[in-house]
Amino acid sequence: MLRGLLVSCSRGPGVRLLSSFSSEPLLPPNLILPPGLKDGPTKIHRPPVDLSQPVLRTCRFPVPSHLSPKPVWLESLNNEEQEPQALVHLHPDVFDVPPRIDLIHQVVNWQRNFKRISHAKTKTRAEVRGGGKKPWTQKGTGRARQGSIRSPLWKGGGVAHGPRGPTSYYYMLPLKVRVLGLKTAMTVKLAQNDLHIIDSTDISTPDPQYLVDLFKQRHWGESVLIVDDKEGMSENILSATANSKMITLIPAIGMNVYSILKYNTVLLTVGAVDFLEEKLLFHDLRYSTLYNFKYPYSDFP
Amino acid sequence: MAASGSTGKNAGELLKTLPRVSLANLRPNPGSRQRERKRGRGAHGGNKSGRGHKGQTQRGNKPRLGFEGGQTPFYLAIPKYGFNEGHSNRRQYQPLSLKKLQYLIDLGRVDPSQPIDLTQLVNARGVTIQPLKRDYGVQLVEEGADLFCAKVNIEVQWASELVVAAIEKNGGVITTGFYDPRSLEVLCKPVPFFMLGKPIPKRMLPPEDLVKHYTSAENRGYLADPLKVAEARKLLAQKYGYFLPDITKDELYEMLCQRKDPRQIFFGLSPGWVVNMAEKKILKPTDERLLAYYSS
Amino acid sequence: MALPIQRCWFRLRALTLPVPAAGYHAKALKMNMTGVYIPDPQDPKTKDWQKGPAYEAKLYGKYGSLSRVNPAQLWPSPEKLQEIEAEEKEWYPSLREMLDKLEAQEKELLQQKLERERVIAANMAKMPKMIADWRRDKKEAKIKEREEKAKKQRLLTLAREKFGVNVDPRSPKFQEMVKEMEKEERRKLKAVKKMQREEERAAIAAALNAAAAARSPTTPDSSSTPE
Repeated sequence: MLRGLLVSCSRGPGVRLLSSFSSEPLLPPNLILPPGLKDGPTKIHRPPVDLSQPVLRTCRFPVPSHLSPKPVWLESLNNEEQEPQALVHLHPDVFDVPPRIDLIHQVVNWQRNFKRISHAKTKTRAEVRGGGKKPWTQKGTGRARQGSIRSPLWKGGGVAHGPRGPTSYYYMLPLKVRVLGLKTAMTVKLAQNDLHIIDSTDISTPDPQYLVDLFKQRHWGESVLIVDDKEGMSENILSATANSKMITLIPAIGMNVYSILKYNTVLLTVGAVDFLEEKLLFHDLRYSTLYNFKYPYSDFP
Repeated sequence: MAASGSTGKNAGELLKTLPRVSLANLRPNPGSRQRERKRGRGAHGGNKSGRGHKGQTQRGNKPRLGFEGGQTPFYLAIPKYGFNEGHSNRRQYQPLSLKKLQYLIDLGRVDPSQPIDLTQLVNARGVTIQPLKRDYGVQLVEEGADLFCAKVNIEVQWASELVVAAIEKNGGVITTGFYDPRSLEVLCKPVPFFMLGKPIPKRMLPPEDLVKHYTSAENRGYLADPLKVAEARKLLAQKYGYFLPDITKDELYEMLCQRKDPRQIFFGLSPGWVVNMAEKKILKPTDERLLAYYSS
Repeated sequence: MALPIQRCWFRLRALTLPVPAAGYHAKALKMNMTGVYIPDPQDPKTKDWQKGPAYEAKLYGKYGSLSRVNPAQLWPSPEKLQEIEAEEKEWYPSLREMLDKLEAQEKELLQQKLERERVIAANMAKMPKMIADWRRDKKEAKIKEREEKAKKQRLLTLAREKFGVNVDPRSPKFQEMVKEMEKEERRKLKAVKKMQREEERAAIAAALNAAAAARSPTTPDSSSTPE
């Protein structure tokens, strides 16, 4: 069985059709793509996973009968030259949901805006210093009638309808929308071959260049996000990524849609996949909340 | 999603050919963001700016709502009468239809092999009780009395005669019990109460206007004489014309006989005990005075 | 206005450093998800709400024995217990008391009802007589009215005969005539009464004489007196 690599030429998104296999779908005619869209660096499109390979991780949670788990290669940061040999099953309700791009847009907007407090404040004509006295009499002078030197018409006067004080842009999307946003983001990354599963973040050397070279060789993009499930990560990976502009290391609790989209490639350890599946699938089958989640709940059916 | 209609292709397959989804190429669904028509700007926001033509409306001088030009307005002409007087102090009972109860049992959200309590119903999300809004519990409602076919030991706060008949016809047991607001809060949300570290309070007796209701056997009150309750069961069966099953011969007889003490809030837990969720322990007081108080 | 300058400064600083440091690592979580946090009650910085027995009970509920809280303080102290018992005694009567009160109320209502019914029954018993009285009064009044009318009519006819014209009953002539007639009637009555009285006296005298005559044959002449 040949497991060769396919490198596609980067000549633009539309041109990809000519060099692709006939099995790849045509773009729909009513699709609007903004002009000047630059495709990412060359990506490796692996051929479909070979299902005869051993499965090292099956889904912990039951998969609905009309869906099947997604098989993905299990890769490693330690072996550079070897091809991935084992498979990992990903839960379809987390990694294969319908790709709602508008949901991702909503969640990203929320992430950017809900923390925002704009401190812009201008002074109104009442707050600007001075301007209590009528500059000249109402009638007699040939000039326009004016009541104060700080009216918005005047230079140096107050602002009529300017920003007033700290404004908060706080709002919360429903919890289930945010959960679905995370699932959608991971689905999209997986569908575009930008999500890879690694066994662990323990590497042999603390050399940052090693990782950079590795990612370059594997064509994993300009920026990489590594998600680990442990709080205490190994020294090597910490020192390797300490001053890197290209690689970021976060715990699984820190997963958010903005970061997933910001980085070109996302690497999840198997532990992180377990954590995420557990947390995200809980919300599919849970009852509505009776009290705060910080108090213990017994298992729901 | 947008393109999958006619071609029948998977949206995930389509994504493979499209550029990488990043922060730069996100946009909302077309048609979801309607542009706001700003007042006083442009052809359709400008001209009279939505104020109409001349008069008080355009000039912003309309009198207050309800003013009728000097004639005594409707809201003053009609005399006051206490239809809603004291409405916020009236006792409310959340309705639960027999149809919904059957639905919950069929879906497995409520277990009929254990006594059904308000805690069980709230856990199953069958009812939502707000003790702070003068809810005094749950009442069983007659909708679905023909469909009801489950044998249950249920405790509610109010039940009409037909409901009682429907439950007893199927071999079940129904009791009406009173919970004062504090006990109700504890009963509906036990976990937040246990996290406060307070001892379980004792349930108070009903107020004077409810004593008659909860001591009468027709309402299956928890303070009623059991012999009278048995008689009332027979009379009700005669009235509604069904055969009253003998629950003593039932395999779940012991479960059906379980009743709460008038001072008890939870089955199996007495007032005065402290339940600790962190270590899964129960602490019981040993002081005689405390024991005397909690068992009085 | 100050912000772009700050940003430039940071970038310049980064350029001058030996290693390009950008600080892209996720910052350490400030919240302590594991472990027990117990604020020190003696510390002046702890808030007031973190100090009382209620907060300690909450700590116990959250952490259990790890919170180093004495479980004995979760129950009310003897003084507090006394207060609670007094309050309950005052505001929460026992079932027996409530039932007694209800019975008393019902009894009173029943009494009132019976009383009212008794009053009604008594009044109903009086009804036939009252009805008869009223009917009688009505009848008498009717008769009287009829008599008055007839009398008036008679007077009118008399007056008409006397004066020869239809006299208005309100005129003074008529009233004078009526007065005269009444006077005549009274005189007649008096005369009749006088005659009756004389007759009675005569009857009495006759009776006495008869009695004296009856006694005189038995007694001597000295006892008889001249009349």
